[in-house]
Amino acid sequence: MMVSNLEIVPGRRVVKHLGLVQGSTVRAKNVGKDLLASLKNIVGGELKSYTELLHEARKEATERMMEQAQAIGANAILNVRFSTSSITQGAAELLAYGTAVVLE
Amino acid sequence: MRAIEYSNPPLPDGINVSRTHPLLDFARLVAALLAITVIAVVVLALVAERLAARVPFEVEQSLAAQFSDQLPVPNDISRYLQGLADRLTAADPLPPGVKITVHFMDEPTVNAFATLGGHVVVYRGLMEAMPNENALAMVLAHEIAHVRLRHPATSMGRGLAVGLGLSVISAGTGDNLAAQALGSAGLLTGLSFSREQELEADEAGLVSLSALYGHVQGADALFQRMAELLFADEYRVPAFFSTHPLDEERIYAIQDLAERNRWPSQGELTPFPEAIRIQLPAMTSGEGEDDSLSADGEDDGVRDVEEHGLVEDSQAPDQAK
Amino acid sequence: MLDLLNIILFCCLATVGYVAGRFAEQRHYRFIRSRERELADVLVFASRFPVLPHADKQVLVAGSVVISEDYFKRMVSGLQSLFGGRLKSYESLVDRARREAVLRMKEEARAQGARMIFNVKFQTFSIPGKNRNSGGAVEVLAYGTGLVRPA
Repeated sequence: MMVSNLEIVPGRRVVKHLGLVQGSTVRAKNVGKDLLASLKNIVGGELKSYTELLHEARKEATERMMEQAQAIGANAILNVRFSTSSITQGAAELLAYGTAVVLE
Repeated sequence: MRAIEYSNPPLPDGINVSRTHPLLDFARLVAALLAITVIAVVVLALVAERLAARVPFEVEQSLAAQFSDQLPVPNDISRYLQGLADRLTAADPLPPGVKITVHFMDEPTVNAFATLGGHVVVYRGLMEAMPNENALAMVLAHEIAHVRLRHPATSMGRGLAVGLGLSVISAGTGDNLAAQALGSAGLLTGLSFSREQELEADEAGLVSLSALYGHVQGADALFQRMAELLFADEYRVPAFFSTHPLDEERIYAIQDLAERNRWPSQGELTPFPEAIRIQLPAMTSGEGEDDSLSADGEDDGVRDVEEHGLVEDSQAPDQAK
Repeated sequence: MLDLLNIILFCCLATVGYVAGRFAEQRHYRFIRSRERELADVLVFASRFPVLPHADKQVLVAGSVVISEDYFKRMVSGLQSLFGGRLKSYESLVDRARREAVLRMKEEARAQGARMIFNVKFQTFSIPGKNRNSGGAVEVLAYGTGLVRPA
């Protein structure tokens, strides 16, 4: 399953556009990581634990999007976009969406 | 050019939504939270107890000085109690630096307790309920034992640590009501001694009692009287019971201990001094007329049980075994 | 005494939140599914360069919805944030909101005569409550360009 941010695939033709597919996940942060992060607020720098958290969330959202695409018979997803937003205190939603297509 | 087909085949439903039932999810979370809370509380309690026992007695005393103005002023009765306590600690000495101060609270509550700094408080209600001086001495010996074993300090330390731990956990949930519910649960542990501590105090108290009188019949007399009170008025359980649970296990433990140490469980029972009986008219008359006792009714030390075999037969009815 | 009242209040709110919330959710999902079947002829795509033989009129269409959390969901999210991991109670909330927003966008497109919507984008916002115990809602905006075939 090809996942791409491009509109077109150079060298290949799109046979069918199968519509919008989305994958989303809502993740809560960990109170333990939270404490470490507040300590980091004093010295600054990358919050590795949160980076990892969002990385995991992105992976899962993308996987769910691919699952939807597979269910309708697509073999590629084009024009993929991500959207992150914070839902309630301590949780974030990560949405990945794109167009499922059948490439020849 | 072949036309590109545009269509929207229907998408399956459950991919972005989890199929677990929300109540099951909730139940799992609660179970996990409870498990962590219990473990944290147990660990904190153990650590706090170990640490609190190391706090020097002087620190306890200075802490106690803060509420010392709430304690009643000394009077004849409290001096009598202090005298009895001093005799107990003379017979069975306390660790160096530890001092017992006995206070008398003129209220009908049937209770006595030991708190920080070696302060012991005895209520009028309890004194009036005691059949004789030996039983009262057992109560004092028990409370002195709590101080000797540093129970007030460890119990307070444990309560503080548990309350603190639960507050930290509840603050993490980010929900006000849940936080309050958990926080108040921590305070409920309070300043109450555990069953284990009570049994330990019983043991140490018996040692003191036996050192002073040479026998431990006072303990029997105490529990007899307590049992009578309990059965007499089911609706008004003396306050003593909420902090000193009375049950078979405790009585057997005491008898077992007496047997193992070969302390005589029969011996002379000392009535209360005349002066005290005048001040507390509701007190029981205690022992019958026993001429061999000195005027103020005080015991003169270790006596041989056989010598006083006659004394046992002439006991007051409420001493019936 | 106050603590007992607090605990009772807490349990009541959680129960009402759970029961009412679940009922509302099931009902909303049924409504969503029926409308999705009905609006299946309005096509949506995320692509930006439609290859179509006709010169169509373009209209910007959008649909948005604000859905509130219930007390039970908030409580579960509070507990889950101790441990981390997937917040299952909120996944259904945002899923509903997204599907509803797309449906409203499709309805607007149909009203304008568009049969296809391209370059669909989403924006999700969270509206916080007044304090930790109340309020709290999720807004989803879905927008795209609809192509109207000239008559």
